[in-house]
Amino acid sequence: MTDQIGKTLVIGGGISGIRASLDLAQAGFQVILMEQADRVGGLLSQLDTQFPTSTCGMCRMLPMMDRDHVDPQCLRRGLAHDNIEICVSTDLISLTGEPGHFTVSFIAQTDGGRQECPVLVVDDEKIVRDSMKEWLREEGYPVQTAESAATALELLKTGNFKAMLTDIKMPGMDGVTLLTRAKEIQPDLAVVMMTAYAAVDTAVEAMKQGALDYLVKPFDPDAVLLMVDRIYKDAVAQNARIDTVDAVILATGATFFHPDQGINAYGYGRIPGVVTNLEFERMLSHAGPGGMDLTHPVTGRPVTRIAWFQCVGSRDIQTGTPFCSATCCMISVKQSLLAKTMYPHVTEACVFYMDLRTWGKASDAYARQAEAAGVRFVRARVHSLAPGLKEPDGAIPVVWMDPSGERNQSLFDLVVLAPGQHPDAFLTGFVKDQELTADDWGFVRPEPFLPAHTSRPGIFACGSATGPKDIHDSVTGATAAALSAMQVMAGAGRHLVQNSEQTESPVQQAAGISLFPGALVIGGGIAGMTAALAIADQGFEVDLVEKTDHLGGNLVWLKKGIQGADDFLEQQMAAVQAHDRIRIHTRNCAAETTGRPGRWITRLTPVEDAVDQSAGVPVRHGVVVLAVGGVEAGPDAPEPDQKSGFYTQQQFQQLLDGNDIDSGSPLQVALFQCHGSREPGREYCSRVCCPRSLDQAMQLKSLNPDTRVVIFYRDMMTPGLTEADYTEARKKGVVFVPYEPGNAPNLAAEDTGCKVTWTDPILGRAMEMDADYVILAKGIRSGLSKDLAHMFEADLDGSGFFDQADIKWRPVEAMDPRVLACGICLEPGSLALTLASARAAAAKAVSLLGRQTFFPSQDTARVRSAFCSLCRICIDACPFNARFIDPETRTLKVDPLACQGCGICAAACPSGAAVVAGRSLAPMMKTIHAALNAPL
Amino acid sequence: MDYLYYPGCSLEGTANEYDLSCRELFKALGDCLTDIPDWTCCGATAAQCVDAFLSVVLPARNLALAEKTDTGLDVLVPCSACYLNLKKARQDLLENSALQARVNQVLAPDELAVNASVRVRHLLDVLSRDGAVDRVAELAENRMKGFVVAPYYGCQCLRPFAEFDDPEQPRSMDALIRATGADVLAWDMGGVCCGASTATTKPQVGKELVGRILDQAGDAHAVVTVCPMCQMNLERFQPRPVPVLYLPQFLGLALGLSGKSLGCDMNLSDIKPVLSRVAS
Amino acid sequence: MHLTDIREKLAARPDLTRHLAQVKEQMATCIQCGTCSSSCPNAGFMDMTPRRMWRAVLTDRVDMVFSSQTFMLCASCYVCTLRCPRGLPLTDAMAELKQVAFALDLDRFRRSTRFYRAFMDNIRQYGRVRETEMMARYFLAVKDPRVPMSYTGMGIKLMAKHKLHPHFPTLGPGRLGPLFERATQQQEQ
Repeated sequence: MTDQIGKTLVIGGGISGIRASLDLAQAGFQVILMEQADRVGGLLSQLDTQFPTSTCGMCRMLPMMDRDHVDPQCLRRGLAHDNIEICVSTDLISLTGEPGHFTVSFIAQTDGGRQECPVLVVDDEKIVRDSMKEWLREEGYPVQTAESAATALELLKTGNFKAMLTDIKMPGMDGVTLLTRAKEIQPDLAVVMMTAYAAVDTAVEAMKQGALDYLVKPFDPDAVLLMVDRIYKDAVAQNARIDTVDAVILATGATFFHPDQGINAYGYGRIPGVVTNLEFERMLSHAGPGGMDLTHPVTGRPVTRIAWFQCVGSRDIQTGTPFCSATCCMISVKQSLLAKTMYPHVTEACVFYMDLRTWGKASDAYARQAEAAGVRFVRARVHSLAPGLKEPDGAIPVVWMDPSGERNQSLFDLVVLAPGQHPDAFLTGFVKDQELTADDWGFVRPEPFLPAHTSRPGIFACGSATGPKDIHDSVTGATAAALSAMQVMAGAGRHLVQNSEQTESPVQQAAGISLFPGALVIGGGIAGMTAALAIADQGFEVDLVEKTDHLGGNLVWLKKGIQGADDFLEQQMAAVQAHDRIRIHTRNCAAETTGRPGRWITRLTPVEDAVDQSAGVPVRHGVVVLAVGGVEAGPDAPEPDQKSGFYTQQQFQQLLDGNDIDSGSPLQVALFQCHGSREPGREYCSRVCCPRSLDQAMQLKSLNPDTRVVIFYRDMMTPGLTEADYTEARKKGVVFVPYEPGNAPNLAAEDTGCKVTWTDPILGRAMEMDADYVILAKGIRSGLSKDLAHMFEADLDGSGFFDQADIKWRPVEAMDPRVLACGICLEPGSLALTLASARAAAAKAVSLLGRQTFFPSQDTARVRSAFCSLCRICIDACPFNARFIDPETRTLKVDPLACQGCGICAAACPSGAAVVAGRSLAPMMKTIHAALNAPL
Repeated sequence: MDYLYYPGCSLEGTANEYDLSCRELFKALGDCLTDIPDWTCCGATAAQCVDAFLSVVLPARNLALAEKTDTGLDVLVPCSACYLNLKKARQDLLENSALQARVNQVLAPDELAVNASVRVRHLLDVLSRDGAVDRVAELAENRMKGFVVAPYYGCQCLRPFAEFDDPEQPRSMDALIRATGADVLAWDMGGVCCGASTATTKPQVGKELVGRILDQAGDAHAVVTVCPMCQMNLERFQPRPVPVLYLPQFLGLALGLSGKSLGCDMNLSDIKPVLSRVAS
Repeated sequence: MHLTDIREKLAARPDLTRHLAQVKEQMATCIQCGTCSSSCPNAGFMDMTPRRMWRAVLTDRVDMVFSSQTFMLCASCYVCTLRCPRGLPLTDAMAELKQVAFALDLDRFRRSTRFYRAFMDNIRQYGRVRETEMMARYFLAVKDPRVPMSYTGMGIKLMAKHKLHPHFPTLGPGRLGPLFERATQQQEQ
C-alpha cells in the first residue's frame, strides 16, 4: 500500500476546486476532480471581469512550474493537467473510509447516470407538475407528468420509471390508492408521497404501505432534489466506478437565491428589466446573448438608467438567510463602474445598499473609484417595485425612503438584483451523509484554528461550502485545503508522481536551476509559526526569524478574546520550539541577502539593542515567507488620552481582559469605527475592527446590561456568517448610529470622560452622551518595510501591505513564486484568515521545495549562448528579474520560475541571442504588418 | 362540503348583503353552512388596541363554541378581520399552552373550553381550494362572458398568514372569476391596503388610498371584494362611480341567482350596470 | 401634551413601562433599513415614519413616540411585517403601542381611544356590535360636533339601505360583562 502515489478526490470544479487540484498536481500528487455540471470553472466561467482589475485574470492561477504539463489555455474554457483526472457530469454515489483510505464510488451522468432514472410526477395542480418538472429536468432527470392517478397508471404500464412522486389528495383516485396499484404493476418503483402539512398522518400511513418517504407542501426545490437523488443513487449504485483516495476536498460552492422564490417583491420574471446580477454580467459579456450591447430586453433600446438592489435573499430572515453573502456588494460596485465607464449611454448607475461591504484591502479604493466615475450610492433598502405605476417605454419606478423619511422616486430601465447565496442540495446531502458539523444555515463549519478541516478527519473543505466567500478568500482557502490533503498523503507514506527530471531533454536539464532546500520564515507571530510548522512537518528545514524576544505576535494580546486561542498559542509555540527542523532566531532580523532567487543566502543580524551583537548567521534558503505581521494603527494627530476615556481597541481589550472595568453602575460607552481608516492616507478597510467592536460591545453588555453602548459606524463590515454577531449585538441592546465622513460624531474631551454629540439620521435629532469610554477603531497598519520587501525583489502595495502577484488569483505570492507572504502583513484579516494564508503559503513552499529543480518550459525564454555577448541589456530589460549570468559557466541563464515568456528580452537583444518559442522575428513582423494593414 | 359558519357582527349590519349572498351561494353549490350557535364578537380591531388578553379571549370563546358542536367541521369566516382574529387566537393558543390554560380559566364558568382543534378558514380559501371552481364553471354556463372583473383581496385574508395565496401577488380569485366566463383585470392593486378601520376614524386616509386603488381599476366593469371593511371603504370613497360587490354576490349572479336574494339592493355603490348585464 | 406629562404618567404606571420595554426588546434587531416605512400605505399621513418611530422606541425617546400619531394610523395591513428583512412583528408591536396609549389615556389620541372604548363597551353589553348605538356613544364621548358631522352622509346612506338597526339600549351587567370581568381578574393575578 505504501508504494502508492498519493491521490486526492476534489469534489466541485469551481475556482476553489481548480485551485486545490492544481496545487496538489503541482506538488506531484494525483487528483480526481469531480464536478456535477458538464464543465469545470463554476460560476467564474460566466464572469468576464473581476475587480479590482476590471478584467479576467483566472489564467494567472496556472502553475509557474511544469508549464508544459498543463494546457496553457484560458481556464474559463477548460483545464488540463497530467496529474488531474477531470470527471465532469459526474455524480458522487458514496464515500466511505478514513484518512489514507477512502473508497469513493461515482458515476458519469451520461453513462447510466441520471438519464437512466426517469421520474413520474403525479399531481392535479398544473403549477406543481410544471415546477417539479422544471427542477428535475434542470438536474438531468427525464420527467413525465400525469394530472390524475388514472393517467399515471397508464404511463407506468408503458414507461420504465425509477421514481414516482404523487400528490395524496386528488380528484378521482387518491395518491394512496395509486401507490398500491402502482406497486402491483412495478414492485421496485420508489414512491414518494406529496402532501399538505395537514395530511402528514396519511403520508406516514402510506409509508407503511410501501411508500419510500413523503414531502410536505409547499416544498423547496432542494428537498425534492435530495429525495430524487437518493432514489437515483440507490438505483445506479451497481454501475458506479469505484476508486480509492487518501483525502477528500469539498469545494462545492454555494448556490444563488432565486429572486422569484417566496414573495418575489421585486417582480423578478414578471417585470421585464428586472434581472439578476449574473444575467447582467452576461449582458456585459463579449460572448453574452446581446454581444455586449447593453439594451433593454423588451424595448431593445440602449439602457440609460440602471439600479442595483443589494441583499436580495441575504441579510433577510424572511428568506431564511440571516447572514451576509459577502460578495454581492463588490459585484455591484464592479458592474456599476463597468456600466458607467464602458457605455456612454448609461447616464445613471445607482446602487441601493444597506451597508456597502468593501472589506479587504483593495475594495474600498475600488468603490471610491466607482463613485468618482459617477456611480451613485444610496443607503436605502428598496422594499419592492411599486405596483400600480405603469410607465411608458418599460421604465421601472423605484421608490425609496431616505434616512429623514423623505420619499423619493426615480425611473430606471434596468433593475439588477444582487441575490444572496446559500448551501445547495448537494452540500446539504453531503453534510448529512458524512455527518459533518455544519452551522445553523447548513454551511460546513471548519474546525477551530484549522480553516480547511471539517469535523471528519481526511475530509477538507474550502470555498463557499464553508460560508459565502469571494474569489480571494476562496483561492487562499483552497490552497490551504491542498496543504491539509498533502499532510494526509505524507502521513500515509504516499509517493509523488515520478519526478519529471528524467523526462527532460539534456538541453533542458542543463538549463535547469535548483533551489536551496530550506525555507526562511520572517516573523514569529501565529502566521509565521503556522507556516514554519507546516513546512517543517513536510520534511524541510526552516529558519524562523523574530525580531522581539518572544514568539506569538499579536495573538499574545488577542488570545483572551478568542475562545481556545490561549491553548492554541501555547501548543503552537511548544511545537515550534520542539521541532528539530525549525531553528528559531529571536531578536534577529534579516539584514541583507545575496544570491539568486531560490538560492538566497540571507544574513541574519541581531536587532540593535540585543545583548548578543555577534556577527550575523547566514541562512541558505530556496523560498522565503514574509510573515512580519502588523500593528494597530496609531494616531495621525495628537489625541486626548485615557484620562478622558479615550482608548484604542487594543488598549480597551487589555482593560477588558484584565477585568479592569468597573461596571457596577451602568457605564456610557461610545465605539467609533473607521477612526482614521477608509480615508485618504489609509484607504482600506481593516476587516477586523467591526467584529472586534461587536465583541467588545457585547462584553460590556454582559458586564452590565444597563450600560449604554453606542457604535458609530460607516458601514458595518460583518460579511458572511459574522452578520450573526451584528444581529446578536442589537438583540443585547447595542445602539448603532451610521455616520458619513465629514459628519462624524463630535468628541469633546473633558477632565473625566468625553461628551459625544451627534445627530441621529433617522430621528433627525441632536443626541449626546457623557461617555466614560470612547473606543477608537483605527484598523491595522502593515509591519512590512520596503527594505525587507525589496531584499527579495518584492514590493509594497499602495497601502503598505505585501504586493501580491495578483490579489485574487495569486494571493499569497509575489510575481516570483518563491517569495511568499501570509498573515496581516499580506492583508488585514481575522485569525482564521491569517491561518488560511499561512497554510496556503506553506503549501506553495512545500510544493516548490519538494520539486527542488526546475527546467525551462516551452514558454521560457532561451539563450543562444553562441550569439550572446553578455552585454546585459536583456537583464535590465526583463521586468521579472528572470535573467542572470551564471558565475560558474559565465553564460547567461534564464530562471524558469521567474520568466513569464513575455518576449521583451527577444526584442531588446541586439544580437538575436534571446529567443522565445513562438515569438521569433519573422512571424512577429508578419503579425504586426497584418495588424497595421487591417481595415479599420 | 359542510362548514361551521361565523358571520361576525358586520354581516348582521353594514355588510348584510355579504351574509345573504354567502348563504345563497353555498346553498346553490350544495354545501351546508351551520351557524356557530351563540357566537359573539371577535374583538375586531378594538380589542387588540385595548387589551391583549381580551383580544385572545373573545375569539377563543367562539372557537370553544365551534369545538363544542363536536362536528369536526372547519370554521368558515367571510370577514377578513374576524378571520384574522380567530386564526391568530388559534395560533397563539396552539403555541402557548400557558395562555391556553389562562383562557380556559376565564371560559370555564360558561362551560366552555378551547383546545384550538378546529381549523379557521377564510371564505376565499374555501371557495378557491375546496372544488368550488369546477362547480361554478358548470353552473355559470359562461354567463359573465365579456365581463372584466378586478379582484380586490385587501390585507388580512392574505397577511400575515400566507395560508392559501401569495401575499404580494394574490391570484386565488382568478380561477373563480374565470369560471364564470369573465376576464380578470391584470392589475397590481389587489393586495394593497384600503385604509381599513383607520379610514373610519381618519376619512382623509381612506379617500386617498381608495382613490389610488380605484384609479387603477380603469377597464374593469366591477370590483369584487371579500371583506366588509374593504367593501365599505371602496364604496364610500369612490373617486368616480365603480360597481363594487362582494365575491359571493358576483358568483351568485353568475350562477343565475336573483339579485334580491343576494342583497344586491343593499350595496352602497351603484351596481346596476352589473345587474343589467346579467339580465340581458 | 407636554413631554413631562407623558413621562410622569408613565412613571406612575410601572406596568406600562414594562410593556414598553418588551416592545423595545422585540424590535431590538431592527437595522433601520426603512422597508417598513416605504411599504406602509399610510406613511404619507403619518407625522413620523414608522422607521423613525421604531428608532425612537429603541433609543428610549418615549416622548417622541407618544407625541406622534404614527402608530394610531397603522391599519394592520401587515405589509411591513411581511417584508421586514429582520422578521420583526411590526404590526403586532404597533397594536401594543396602541394598548399603552389607550392605558395612558392621552388627550391627543382621544378620537381613537374613545372609538375603541365605545366599541368595547358595546360588545361587552350586547356580545355583538350594534353599530348605531356604538357610533352614538362614540360621538358623545369625543364631545366634538365636527366628528358626527363627518359621518352624517354615510349614516343617511346606510339608513336608506336598511343597514342600521336602532335597538333600545339595555342596562345591566351586559351580555359579556362577566367574561370581561373574569378576563380582567385573570390578568391581575
